[in-house]
Amino acid sequence: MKRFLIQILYFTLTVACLAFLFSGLNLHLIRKKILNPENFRLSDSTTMLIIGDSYVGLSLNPKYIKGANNETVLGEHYLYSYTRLKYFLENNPQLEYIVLSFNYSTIAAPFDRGLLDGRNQSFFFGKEFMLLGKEELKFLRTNNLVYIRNFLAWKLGVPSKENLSLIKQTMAKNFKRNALPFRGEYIDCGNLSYVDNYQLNVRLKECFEPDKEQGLSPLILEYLQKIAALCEQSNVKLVLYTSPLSNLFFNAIPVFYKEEFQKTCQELPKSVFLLDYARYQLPDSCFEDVNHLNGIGAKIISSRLLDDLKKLEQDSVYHMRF
Amino acid sequence: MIFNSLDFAVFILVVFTLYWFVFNRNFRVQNVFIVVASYFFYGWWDWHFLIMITFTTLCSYYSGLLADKVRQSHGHSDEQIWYKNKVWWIIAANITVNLVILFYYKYYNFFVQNFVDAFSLFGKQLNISTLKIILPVGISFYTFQALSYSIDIYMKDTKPTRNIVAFFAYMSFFPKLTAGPVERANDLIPQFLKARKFDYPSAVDGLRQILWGLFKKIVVADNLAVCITYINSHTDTLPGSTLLLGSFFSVLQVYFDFSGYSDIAIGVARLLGINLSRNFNFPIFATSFANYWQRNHISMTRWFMDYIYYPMLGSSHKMLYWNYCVICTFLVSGLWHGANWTFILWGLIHGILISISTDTLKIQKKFEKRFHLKGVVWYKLIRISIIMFVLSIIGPLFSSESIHSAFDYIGKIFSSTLFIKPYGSTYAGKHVVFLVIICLLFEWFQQEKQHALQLDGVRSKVLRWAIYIFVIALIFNYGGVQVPFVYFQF
Repeated sequence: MKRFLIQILYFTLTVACLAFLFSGLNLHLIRKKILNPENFRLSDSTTMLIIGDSYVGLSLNPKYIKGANNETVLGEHYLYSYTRLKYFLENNPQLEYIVLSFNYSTIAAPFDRGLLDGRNQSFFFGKEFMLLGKEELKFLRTNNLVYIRNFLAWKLGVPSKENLSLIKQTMAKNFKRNALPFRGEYIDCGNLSYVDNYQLNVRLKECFEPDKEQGLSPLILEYLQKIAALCEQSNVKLVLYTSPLSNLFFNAIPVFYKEEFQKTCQELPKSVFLLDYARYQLPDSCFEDVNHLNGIGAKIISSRLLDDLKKLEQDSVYHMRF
Repeated sequence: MIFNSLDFAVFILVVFTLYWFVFNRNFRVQNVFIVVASYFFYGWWDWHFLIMITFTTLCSYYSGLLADKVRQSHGHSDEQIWYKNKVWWIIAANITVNLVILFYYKYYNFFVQNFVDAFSLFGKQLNISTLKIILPVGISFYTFQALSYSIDIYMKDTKPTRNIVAFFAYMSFFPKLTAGPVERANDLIPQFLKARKFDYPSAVDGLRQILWGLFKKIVVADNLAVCITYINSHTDTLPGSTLLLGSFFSVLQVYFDFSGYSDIAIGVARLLGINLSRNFNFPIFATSFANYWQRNHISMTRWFMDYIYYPMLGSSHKMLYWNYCVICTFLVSGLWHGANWTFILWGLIHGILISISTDTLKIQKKFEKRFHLKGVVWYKLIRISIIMFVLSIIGPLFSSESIHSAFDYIGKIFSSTLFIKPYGSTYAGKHVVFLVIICLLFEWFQQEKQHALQLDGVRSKVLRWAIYIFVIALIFNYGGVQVPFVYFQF
């Protein structure tokens, strides 16, 4: 038994020493190369930052919005948006507007539940774990290998496939900052259009999980307040954007969420603008699926966004529905 | 508590420490500790499960004792006519109780649904409601252990144990409780009735086996599961070649998942000084269907052979009757896997394939002799590929929810798109293929060993440790989402 324990001890020490040897160098490179403030710098002409989930990712094409940059990551929870926003605001004093995705499904409980889902974590940790603060880590802490690996990799520098490949990427000659995993983009769906009952059922299940108990996502609401406070602190106007929905999808949204969405809108902080296009009438050919616009729909909405925003400011009306 | 979780890592560390450092003076105390630890392990899922396993254990224990007492009082001579034989009645009662419990949890809804469907064909609507109950994890496995114990007592193959703690340990020993190996009383109970000494080589090899099991489960099977989920949810748009690849991945996933579990179970037991039966002998390298089932899920196949096939066969040597017995045995095996017609059909096909494979053995041997093919590697690889191909074709029966969807999947494989290049990048990173190849290579070169990481032949300690660190690095890097073990559902 003594021999067994000694061998285990030696082996563990060997593994720990090897990990320690690399982790010092790795941590230095992560700080220098990956968390480099330059990686969050947008062009000087960028005054509007679009951030959030697929609703803004597919419907706001920066090509048609002067001074805008779309940094969307599909399926992103406000907890992650807040984390990225901190870095963007810190390094871009020229920003005037933050456009944040805000929809019926955003406030629904499944959005919070998804945070601790293994596959969801696997996807987002690879993209944004390195940016997360202590408070956010507290919410995301699980005892599965994905969390443990990412924690060791990004916070302690233990070599892993994620941090090594990203460090390698930042050292390449043709390295592009906007190709980093925590940088988002607008996704052009062209003229693809699948608005049918099959898509409706898939999306309803994904957004509202009808077979489970209905409820709100408290973490989303908490982080909405945090984002609003952060924007106010940075002298940036926060604009919540509700993307157009197909009639098929809008009519199928559970009444509970429709009512709660209206309540949440009424309780928004005064400094927050709301552009609600949910009932904006567009033909089905403008939708990629039942609740996302395609390239055609995105062009229509993006082209009028700035005008609508100006009107909102001029009239001193904070909420506008279409 | 599942093996590939942090909870289990802490649990086994505590159990190992207490077992060898606190309770090591007396094996009886160690047995009590094993039972407590096993009940804690099982109750971690749901403490209600403990009621059922306790009941099954008590029934089997006391029925064994009672049968023995009756047998003793009759002076060792059993009554030949079964209905006059009290021992027969006692054992039959225990078997019935166990089967009723299993039927209630696992098969009640299936039979009721089929009963209602059958009546509706004749225009008669029956109002029998199905049950909403959770199937206790591992119920089929421990029930089968209880059955084998009772049958062995009746057949005088084993003596009932009087040590209730040892019997509880036999029934609930946590490494094999949830998905086997299905142990026999003669193999396991004697190990609980003697003092156990810590054996350094066995413990070290146990750790290697755990490491290899974790690699197979966490790295290979779970990453394959992600690809399979993608393919299964896009059957309408993917070509037949990709669907065939998906089905092949499913065969590999089930193997790596279940054999990974068995490796961890056997390794953990060895750390505690207990030897469990071997459950897999690299079945993916089988060269015929009969050979496949000699290597795959060995403990359960042995159970079906000993308690269904051989009693049915008796002393008959007729080939047709032999085939009939094999097919019946595999029908039951299919039904054991799950209450679904897909499993029954899966069992039936396997039964037929084994029969064909064995019936044509003489022709195969003649062919090999004629062309000097025995031991030729390429010939072996061709045979392995044929077995894998057939398993992939019938694979959807094992993983589909209904016969209709299974045939739908198989139909889509054999479409005009079967021969186009499978889509790679959309559903699987290159890393999955790389991991599968690493795993298969390890297993291929270690075929003669108990498990692929048995490195007895490697004399260099540095090389051995480098291999361990390489495997640990792969687990650390490619381990991801915790996917439940496939065989927990059975």
